[in-house]
Amino acid sequence: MIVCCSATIGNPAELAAALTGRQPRLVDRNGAPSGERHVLMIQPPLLDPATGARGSAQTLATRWALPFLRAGRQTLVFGRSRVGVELMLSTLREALRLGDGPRSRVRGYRGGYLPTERRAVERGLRDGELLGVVTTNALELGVDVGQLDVAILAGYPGSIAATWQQMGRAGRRQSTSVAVLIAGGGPVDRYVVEHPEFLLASTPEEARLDPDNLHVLLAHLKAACFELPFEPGEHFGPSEAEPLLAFLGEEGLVRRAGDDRWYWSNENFPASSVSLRAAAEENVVIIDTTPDRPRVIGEIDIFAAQTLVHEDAIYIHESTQYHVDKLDWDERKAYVRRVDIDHYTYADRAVTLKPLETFATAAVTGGSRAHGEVMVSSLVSMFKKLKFGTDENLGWGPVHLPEIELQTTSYWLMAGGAAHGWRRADLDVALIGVGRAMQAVAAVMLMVDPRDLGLVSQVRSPHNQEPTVYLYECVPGGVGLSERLFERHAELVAGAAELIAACDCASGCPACTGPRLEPDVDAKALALRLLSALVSGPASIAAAPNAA
Amino acid sequence: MDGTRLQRGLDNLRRGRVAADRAAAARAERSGEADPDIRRAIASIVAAADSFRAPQPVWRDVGPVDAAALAHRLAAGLDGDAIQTPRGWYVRRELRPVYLPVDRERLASLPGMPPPSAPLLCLDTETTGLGSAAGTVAFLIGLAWWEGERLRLLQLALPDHSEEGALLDALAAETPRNAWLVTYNGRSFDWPLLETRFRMNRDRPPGLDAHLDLLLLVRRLFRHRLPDARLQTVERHLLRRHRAPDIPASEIPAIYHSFLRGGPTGPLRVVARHNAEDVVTLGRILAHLERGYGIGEVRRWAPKGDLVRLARLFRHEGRTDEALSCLAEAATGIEGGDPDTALATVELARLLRRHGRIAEAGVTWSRLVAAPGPLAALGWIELAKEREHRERNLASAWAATDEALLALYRSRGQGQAILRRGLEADLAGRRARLARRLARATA
Repeated sequence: MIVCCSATIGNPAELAAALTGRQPRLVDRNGAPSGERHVLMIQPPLLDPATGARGSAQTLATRWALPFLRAGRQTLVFGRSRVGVELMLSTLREALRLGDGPRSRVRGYRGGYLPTERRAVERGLRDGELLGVVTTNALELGVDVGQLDVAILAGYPGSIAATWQQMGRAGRRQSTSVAVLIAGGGPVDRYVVEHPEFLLASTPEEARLDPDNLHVLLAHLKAACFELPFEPGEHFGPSEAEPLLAFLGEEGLVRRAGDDRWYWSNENFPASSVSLRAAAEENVVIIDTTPDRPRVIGEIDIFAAQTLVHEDAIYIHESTQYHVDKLDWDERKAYVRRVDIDHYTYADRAVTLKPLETFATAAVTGGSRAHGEVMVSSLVSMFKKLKFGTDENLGWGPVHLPEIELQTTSYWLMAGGAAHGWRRADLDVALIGVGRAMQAVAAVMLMVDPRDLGLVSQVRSPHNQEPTVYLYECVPGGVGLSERLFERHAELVAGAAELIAACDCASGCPACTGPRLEPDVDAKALALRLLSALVSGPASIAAAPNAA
Repeated sequence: MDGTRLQRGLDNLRRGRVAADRAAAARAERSGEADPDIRRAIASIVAAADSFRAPQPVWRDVGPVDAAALAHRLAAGLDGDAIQTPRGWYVRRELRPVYLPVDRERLASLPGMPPPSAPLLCLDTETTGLGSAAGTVAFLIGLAWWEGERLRLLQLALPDHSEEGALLDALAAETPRNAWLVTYNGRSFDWPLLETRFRMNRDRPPGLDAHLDLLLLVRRLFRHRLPDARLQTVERHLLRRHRAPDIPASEIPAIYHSFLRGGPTGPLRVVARHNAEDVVTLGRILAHLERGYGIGEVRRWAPKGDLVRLARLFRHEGRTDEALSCLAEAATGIEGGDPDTALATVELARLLRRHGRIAEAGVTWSRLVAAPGPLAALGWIELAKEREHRERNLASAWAATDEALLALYRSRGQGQAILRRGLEADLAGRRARLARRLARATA
């Protein structure tokens, strides 16, 4: 018998069936006692309608956390990024130090801390030793810290399920608890906070599992075959194992023996190359060379390493700043040294995309749509130095690291008809704006984390010679999102038009068309003009199933 | 997933692979040379082999093969016999016995050693993977046992994954009842792996009377003078035997997988030689122990550090008299300046004291002061205690602490390690207390 448990997904029975291949019985009555809970949703004020600049979610989050911490209430603050977590932790500690507060009882927690450090924080929360913890979603799933008083979310975590996971950390059986969601700068955040019913009324996302994802399927098959040979004609997952085994055979990983069974026949241990938590297979170890005996202070996956511990980066760990002296990429080691300076660094990722194969294509108003397999290469080539507090740009530096490649699936929109007669510079701005809005709408429509979808726009794609917007999946091989986007293309463009039109900014902002690149370009008007030539009928995002 | 989509996906991956291979080949050509580690590994294989080509990394023919054909090819390659049983094929290879007389009575006099009548079976396996996970299989099992003064050698080899039942049956048949298994790291690697393989084949592993893992013994007795405790290190440093160029253990699984895919048998021959040497080394270690450390005159020539460790093993078994005799042997000639002699003297004095032989312990401690190293301090400290508490001579006790400190300072000046942390502080404390008592007594 297999028992599957889930707190926050919309389709537990369906997921259990897909996971186990058996028909499950659903038990979904929650009998646990719970106290009163207040949910607050906060939209940071618009500071400048011209640029669309809003108050920062992180600043508001620390401001909300302080009174609770001073009152001795156990409080969790969730940030969306590792850097954000460290910045909020520094701010909180500083404020508590000035106000004579419980400074030492506030700690950080995120991926990249060592297991022992993490266990200490978890224990501290459980037995009440710690009062406040600033964390990423690392503390969201499967970590036992007991029930706390207050949860503050600096930014929408990306999905309803994750939001309830994080908010659910606050909630005593007897006493009152508080959950605060503060919208970040992005369009999805804005949409969620402006439509509280989206969070409060709609069912959580459906967990999706694509048993057909070849990468996942092959990895499972390798591990299975290592343990026991496959019989001829045996099934694995949705189909017969034979063609997959033959493929692995060509790779030199399995082999058919004289008894017609397939055996693992490679000296490597297949499970060791699969990670349950991170997308990347390998980690970079971070070594602090400040003390006489260098010590390991953490490790991060290679994708994050490219933006966080490139040479000359300022890496922040437990609100201590470290300068990265050397990143030995081949050895997967970053050597850092403790420093105390007034800035942090932010590295940008340049992404290029190349279609490998088109699965389907169809004509639409103003152009055509398609989905298929693509190769995405990401390269980190430079970083910015930003001043603490004001985020003022203090300069930049180069990053020399190899490209990372991702083979995945993508949906794309070719706007050759709609863009006829446009100036190149205007079209560039319009495509980026349309892409950003479509990315946000797609995330809401498919109920996925916006970070699960990547965006690339090309004014004149080298592959189809047309202006093109790609939305690609960030998981190797994809999980079927692009096919769904292809099918719901009309809703997608209509929703994007509505999102931009409804925004209260003057000429484009991070909450609709994305951060403005040049001050005197009206991205909002350009994006709307392009969209008007792409929208076909009266479809709207509000009409999308499950969305509102 | 429908068949066409799956096929399309696989074809995409295949195209990607071709492109990746091409890119890798281009990179290799550009850089002009392979990774230094790989080059070293290849060089060592080439050096080791007399007549074979290096294995190809990947063999892409996957058609089903005939186990009988593989068995005959393997037998021909290893110069053994392909044997058919109801459960399949295996290859059996008898090697020329090695003359290696061992006095089992004397061997049995050592701690943890088998009684003279117990049948011994030395065993070493070569496996298809480096870890001991569920899918790792032993493809070559080397066995050795004594027949009179000769060590008989037998190797059992697996022609294909499907034939494992036959191989395991053969192993069970060769394992005598009441056998003592002799291995090197077999307690945590070879034997649990074989037990798993028997169970995966729905068989019961053969029963053993005991399992003598020589790694544990070698660590306790000889680790203090070996750079590490690997079998080949033991062979070189302890047995003073030098192997012909050998294959690195990490290369072995790939060689077997390559053979299964139609690769050459030459490299497997080198693996078999490696395995045979490992098994014989197990026998040689037992012979070395018996000759150098068994009861009697020979022990006198054993390194003193070894005797101190041997005494510890005796003590753990409660064989105090034998422990004392080892230590007494090692403690002779303290003036020679050998630190192991001094260590033996300390342990001898402590053991004597623990068993109430105070007078002998005292004599031993007083011999220690003649030792040249920091251990002399321990002798002086014991003398200080003796003089303070039994002789009640505070002045000479105080003088002894002085000598002890002097010995420590001197050895530190010569860059020798201090015996234990806090020793100097303790000693200074004792000296100060004696000084106070002296002052009170004279006042």
